[in-house]
Amino acid sequence: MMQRRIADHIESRIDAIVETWINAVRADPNLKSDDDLSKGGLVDHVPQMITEICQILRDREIAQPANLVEGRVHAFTRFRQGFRARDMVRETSLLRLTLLKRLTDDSSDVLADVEIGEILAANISINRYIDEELRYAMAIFTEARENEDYATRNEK
Amino acid sequence: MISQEDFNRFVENYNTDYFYLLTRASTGSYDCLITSFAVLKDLYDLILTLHDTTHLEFQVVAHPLTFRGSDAFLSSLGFNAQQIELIYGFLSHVKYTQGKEFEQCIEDGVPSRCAATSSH
Repeated sequence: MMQRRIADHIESRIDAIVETWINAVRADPNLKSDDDLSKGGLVDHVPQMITEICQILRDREIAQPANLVEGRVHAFTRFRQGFRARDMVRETSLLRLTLLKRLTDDSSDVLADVEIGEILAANISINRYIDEELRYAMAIFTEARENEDYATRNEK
Repeated sequence: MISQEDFNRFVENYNTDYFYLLTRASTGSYDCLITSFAVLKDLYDLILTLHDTTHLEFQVVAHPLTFRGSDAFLSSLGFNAQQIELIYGFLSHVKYTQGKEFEQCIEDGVPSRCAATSSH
Protein backbone atom coordinates (compact mmCIF):
# COMPACT_ATOMS: atom_id res chain seq x y z
CA MET A 1 0.00 0.00 0.00
CA MET A 2 2.75 2.41 0.97
CA GLN A 3 4.85 1.47 -2.06
CA ARG A 4 1.85 2.39 -4.18
CA ARG A 5 1.63 5.72 -2.41
CA ILE A 6 5.33 6.38 -3.01
CA ALA A 7 4.96 5.33 -6.66
CA ASP A 8 1.96 7.63 -7.17
CA HIS A 9 3.90 10.47 -5.61
CA ILE A 10 6.97 9.95 -7.81
CA GLU A 11 4.79 9.62 -10.89
CA SER A 12 3.07 12.90 -10.11
CA ARG A 13 6.48 14.56 -10.10
CA ILE A 14 7.86 13.06 -13.31
CA ASP A 15 8.07 16.34 -15.21
CA ALA A 16 9.98 18.02 -12.39
CA ILE A 17 12.27 15.02 -11.93
CA VAL A 18 13.07 14.91 -15.65
CA GLU A 19 13.73 18.65 -15.70
CA THR A 20 16.11 18.36 -12.73
CA TRP A 21 17.86 15.45 -14.42
CA ILE A 22 18.22 17.39 -17.71
CA ASN A 23 19.81 20.30 -15.85
CA ALA A 24 22.20 17.94 -14.07
CA VAL A 25 23.21 16.28 -17.36
CA ARG A 26 23.68 19.57 -19.20
CA ALA A 27 25.69 21.00 -16.31
CA ASP A 28 28.07 18.03 -16.10
CA PRO A 29 31.30 19.07 -17.87
CA ASN A 30 32.43 15.47 -18.20
CA LEU A 31 29.39 14.43 -20.20
CA LYS A 32 30.09 14.85 -23.91
CA SER A 33 27.70 12.55 -25.74
CA ASP A 34 24.66 14.74 -25.09
CA ASP A 35 26.13 17.86 -26.69
CA ASP A 36 24.44 17.39 -30.06
CA LEU A 37 21.12 16.15 -28.71
CA SER A 38 17.95 18.20 -28.62
CA LYS A 39 15.97 18.22 -25.39
CA GLY A 40 13.67 15.54 -26.81
CA GLY A 41 16.61 13.45 -27.93
CA LEU A 42 18.22 13.73 -24.52
CA VAL A 43 15.07 12.91 -22.59
CA ASP A 44 14.32 9.88 -24.81
CA HIS A 45 12.65 7.21 -22.66
CA VAL A 46 13.56 8.62 -19.26
CA PRO A 47 9.93 9.53 -18.33
CA GLN A 48 8.83 6.03 -19.33
CA MET A 49 11.66 4.57 -17.26
CA ILE A 50 10.42 6.45 -14.21
CA THR A 51 6.89 5.22 -14.90
CA GLU A 52 8.30 1.71 -15.15
CA ILE A 53 10.08 2.10 -11.81
CA CYS A 54 6.79 3.25 -10.27
CA GLN A 55 5.02 0.19 -11.62
CA ILE A 56 7.71 -2.05 -10.14
CA LEU A 57 7.18 -0.33 -6.78
CA ARG A 58 3.43 -0.83 -6.98
CA ASP A 59 3.76 -4.48 -7.90
CA ARG A 60 6.50 -4.99 -5.30
CA GLU A 61 8.62 -6.63 -7.97
CA ILE A 62 12.38 -6.78 -8.32
CA ALA A 63 13.92 -5.19 -11.41
CA GLN A 64 15.14 -7.83 -13.84
CA PRO A 65 15.47 -8.15 -17.63
CA ALA A 66 11.83 -9.17 -17.96
CA ASN A 67 10.39 -5.99 -16.43
CA LEU A 68 13.04 -3.56 -17.64
CA VAL A 69 11.36 -2.87 -20.97
CA GLU A 70 11.75 0.92 -21.16
CA GLY A 71 15.19 0.78 -19.58
CA ARG A 72 16.37 -1.52 -22.34
CA VAL A 73 14.90 0.72 -25.03
CA HIS A 74 16.72 3.68 -23.52
CA ALA A 75 20.07 1.87 -23.35
CA PHE A 76 19.64 0.56 -26.88
CA THR A 77 18.80 4.03 -28.19
CA ARG A 78 21.86 5.51 -26.49
CA PHE A 79 23.96 2.78 -28.06
CA ARG A 80 22.57 3.59 -31.49
CA GLN A 81 23.07 7.31 -30.86
CA GLY A 82 26.78 6.63 -30.42
CA PHE A 83 26.93 7.51 -26.74
CA ARG A 84 30.19 6.74 -25.01
CA ALA A 85 29.73 4.00 -22.42
CA ARG A 86 31.07 6.22 -19.67
CA ASP A 87 28.50 8.90 -20.54
CA MET A 88 25.73 6.32 -20.47
CA VAL A 89 26.84 5.36 -16.97
CA ARG A 90 27.10 8.98 -15.89
CA GLU A 91 23.68 10.09 -17.12
CA THR A 92 22.09 7.00 -15.56
CA SER A 93 23.91 7.70 -12.32
CA LEU A 94 22.54 11.25 -12.40
CA LEU A 95 19.04 9.83 -12.84
CA ARG A 96 19.61 7.64 -9.79
CA LEU A 97 20.78 10.62 -7.74
CA THR A 98 17.88 12.76 -8.91
CA LEU A 99 15.31 10.11 -7.99
CA LEU A 100 16.85 9.31 -4.62
CA LYS A 101 17.24 12.98 -3.70
CA ARG A 102 13.59 13.59 -4.52
CA LEU A 103 12.56 10.62 -2.41
CA THR A 104 14.79 11.72 0.48
CA ASP A 105 13.57 15.32 0.38
CA ASP A 106 9.92 14.33 0.21
CA SER A 107 10.27 11.76 2.99
CA SER A 108 10.51 14.61 5.44
CA ASP A 109 7.75 16.58 3.73
CA VAL A 110 4.76 15.21 1.82
CA LEU A 111 5.78 11.61 2.53
CA ALA A 112 6.54 12.27 6.20
CA ASP A 113 3.82 9.86 7.33
CA VAL A 114 5.37 6.98 5.37
CA GLU A 115 7.45 4.63 7.50
CA ILE A 116 11.18 4.85 6.97
CA GLY A 117 11.27 1.14 6.16
CA GLU A 118 8.98 1.75 3.18
CA ILE A 119 11.13 4.63 1.99
CA LEU A 120 14.19 2.41 2.24
CA ALA A 121 12.43 -0.37 0.33
CA ALA A 122 11.61 2.08 -2.47
CA ASN A 123 15.19 3.30 -2.37
CA ILE A 124 16.45 -0.25 -2.84
CA SER A 125 14.02 -0.89 -5.71
CA ILE A 126 15.17 2.24 -7.52
CA ASN A 127 18.80 1.23 -7.07
CA ARG A 128 18.10 -2.26 -8.37
CA TYR A 129 16.36 -0.86 -11.44
CA ILE A 130 19.23 1.50 -12.22
CA ASP A 131 21.79 -1.25 -11.64
CA GLU A 132 19.92 -3.59 -13.95
CA GLU A 133 19.75 -0.83 -16.56
CA LEU A 134 23.50 -0.33 -16.34
CA ARG A 135 24.11 -4.07 -16.47
CA TYR A 136 22.18 -4.34 -19.73
CA ALA A 137 23.79 -1.18 -21.12
CA MET A 138 27.28 -2.45 -20.37
CA ALA A 139 26.47 -5.73 -22.07
CA ILE A 140 25.52 -4.11 -25.36
CA PHE A 141 28.17 -1.39 -25.20
CA THR A 142 31.02 -3.81 -24.58
CA GLU A 143 29.94 -6.98 -26.34
CA ALA A 144 28.46 -5.75 -29.60
CA ARG A 145 30.35 -6.08 -32.86
CA GLU A 146 28.45 -3.01 -34.03
CA ASN A 147 30.19 -1.08 -31.30
CA GLU A 148 33.58 -2.11 -32.68
CA ASP A 149 32.44 -1.00 -36.12
CA TYR A 150 31.27 2.31 -34.69
CA ALA A 151 34.58 2.84 -32.88
CA THR A 152 36.52 1.97 -36.03
CA ARG A 153 34.48 4.44 -38.09
CA ASN A 154 35.11 7.20 -35.56
CA GLU A 155 38.85 6.60 -35.59
CA LYS A 156 39.06 7.20 -39.33
CA MET B 1 25.27 -25.97 -25.84
CA ILE B 2 24.45 -23.16 -28.25
CA SER B 3 27.53 -21.55 -29.77
CA GLN B 4 28.14 -17.81 -29.98
CA GLU B 5 27.87 -18.01 -33.77
CA ASP B 6 24.49 -19.73 -33.52
CA PHE B 7 23.36 -17.17 -30.99
CA ASN B 8 24.46 -14.34 -33.29
CA ARG B 9 22.46 -15.85 -36.15
CA PHE B 10 19.50 -16.34 -33.85
CA VAL B 11 19.57 -12.67 -32.87
CA GLU B 12 20.08 -11.60 -36.48
CA ASN B 13 17.02 -13.62 -37.50
CA TYR B 14 15.02 -12.05 -34.69
CA ASN B 15 16.13 -8.58 -35.82
CA THR B 16 15.19 -9.40 -39.42
CA ASP B 17 11.73 -10.58 -38.36
CA TYR B 18 11.30 -7.56 -36.13
CA PHE B 19 12.25 -5.21 -38.97
CA TYR B 20 9.83 -7.01 -41.27
CA LEU B 21 6.97 -6.51 -38.80
CA LEU B 22 7.83 -2.85 -38.40
CA THR B 23 7.92 -2.52 -42.18
CA ARG B 24 4.42 -3.98 -42.36
CA ALA B 25 3.24 -1.52 -39.71
CA SER B 26 4.89 1.33 -41.60
CA THR B 27 2.66 0.63 -44.59
CA GLY B 28 -0.50 0.40 -42.50
CA SER B 29 -0.75 -3.34 -42.97
CA TYR B 30 -1.90 -4.11 -39.45
CA ASP B 31 -3.76 -7.39 -40.02
CA CYS B 32 -2.70 -10.04 -37.49
CA LEU B 33 0.39 -8.00 -36.70
CA ILE B 34 -0.21 -8.13 -32.95
CA THR B 35 -0.19 -11.92 -33.13
CA SER B 36 3.14 -11.83 -34.92
CA PHE B 37 4.60 -9.46 -32.34
CA ALA B 38 3.36 -11.72 -29.53
CA VAL B 39 5.16 -14.66 -31.12
CA LEU B 40 8.27 -12.54 -31.59
CA LYS B 41 8.19 -11.64 -27.91
CA ASP B 42 8.76 -15.29 -27.04
CA LEU B 43 11.91 -15.21 -29.15
CA TYR B 44 13.01 -11.98 -27.54
CA ASP B 45 12.48 -13.38 -24.04
CA LEU B 46 14.49 -16.42 -25.00
CA ILE B 47 17.34 -14.24 -26.28
CA LEU B 48 17.37 -12.28 -23.00
CA THR B 49 17.28 -15.46 -20.93
CA LEU B 50 20.11 -17.06 -22.92
CA HIS B 51 22.20 -13.92 -22.57
CA ASP B 52 21.44 -13.61 -18.89
CA THR B 53 22.10 -17.20 -17.91
CA THR B 54 24.92 -18.36 -20.18
CA HIS B 55 28.30 -17.20 -21.46
CA LEU B 56 26.72 -15.85 -24.65
CA GLU B 57 27.30 -12.20 -25.54
CA PHE B 58 25.33 -9.55 -27.41
CA GLN B 59 27.81 -9.41 -30.29
CA VAL B 60 24.68 -8.68 -32.28
CA VAL B 61 22.27 -6.56 -30.25
CA ALA B 62 18.63 -7.56 -30.29
CA HIS B 63 16.30 -4.69 -31.10
CA PRO B 64 14.09 -3.83 -28.13
CA LEU B 65 10.61 -5.17 -28.71
CA THR B 66 8.70 -2.03 -27.86
CA PHE B 67 8.94 1.05 -30.06
CA ARG B 68 6.60 3.55 -28.42
CA GLY B 69 8.11 7.03 -28.50
CA SER B 70 11.18 5.78 -30.31
CA ASP B 71 11.49 8.25 -33.19
CA ALA B 72 15.29 8.25 -33.04
CA PHE B 73 15.47 4.48 -33.10
CA LEU B 74 12.93 4.11 -35.91
CA SER B 75 14.69 6.80 -37.94
CA SER B 76 17.95 4.94 -37.52
CA LEU B 77 16.29 1.90 -39.06
CA GLY B 78 15.48 3.98 -42.13
CA PHE B 79 11.82 4.81 -41.58
CA ASN B 80 10.70 8.29 -42.61
CA ALA B 81 8.28 10.52 -40.70
CA GLN B 82 5.19 9.28 -42.51
CA GLN B 83 6.16 5.65 -41.96
CA ILE B 84 6.86 6.31 -38.29
CA GLU B 85 3.42 7.86 -37.98
CA LEU B 86 1.88 4.69 -39.40
CA ILE B 87 3.96 2.56 -37.02
CA TYR B 88 2.63 4.56 -34.09
CA GLY B 89 -0.80 4.24 -35.66
CA PHE B 90 -0.47 0.53 -35.10
CA LEU B 91 -0.32 1.17 -31.35
CA SER B 92 -3.63 3.03 -31.53
CA HIS B 93 -5.02 0.26 -33.71
CA VAL B 94 -4.11 -2.33 -31.09
CA LYS B 95 -5.68 -0.28 -28.32
CA TYR B 96 -8.86 0.08 -30.38
CA THR B 97 -9.17 -3.54 -31.51
CA GLN B 98 -7.82 -5.35 -28.44
CA GLY B 99 -8.96 -2.96 -25.72
CA LYS B 100 -5.50 -2.75 -24.17
CA GLU B 101 -2.09 -1.37 -24.93
CA PHE B 102 0.33 -3.07 -27.30
CA GLU B 103 2.78 -3.86 -24.51
CA GLN B 104 0.07 -5.48 -22.42
CA CYS B 105 -1.13 -7.53 -25.40
CA ILE B 106 2.25 -9.04 -26.12
CA GLU B 107 2.84 -9.57 -22.41
CA ASP B 108 -0.43 -11.46 -22.11
CA GLY B 109 0.42 -13.70 -25.06
CA VAL B 110 -0.95 -14.47 -28.47
CA PRO B 111 -4.52 -13.19 -28.88
CA SER B 112 -7.11 -15.86 -29.56
CA ARG B 113 -8.02 -14.15 -32.79
CA CYS B 114 -6.17 -11.53 -34.76
CA ALA B 115 -7.73 -8.22 -35.68
CA ALA B 116 -8.09 -8.01 -39.45
CA THR B 117 -9.26 -4.45 -39.61
CA SER B 118 -6.46 -2.39 -41.06
CA SER B 119 -7.36 1.22 -41.35
CA HIS B 120 -5.06 1.68 -44.36
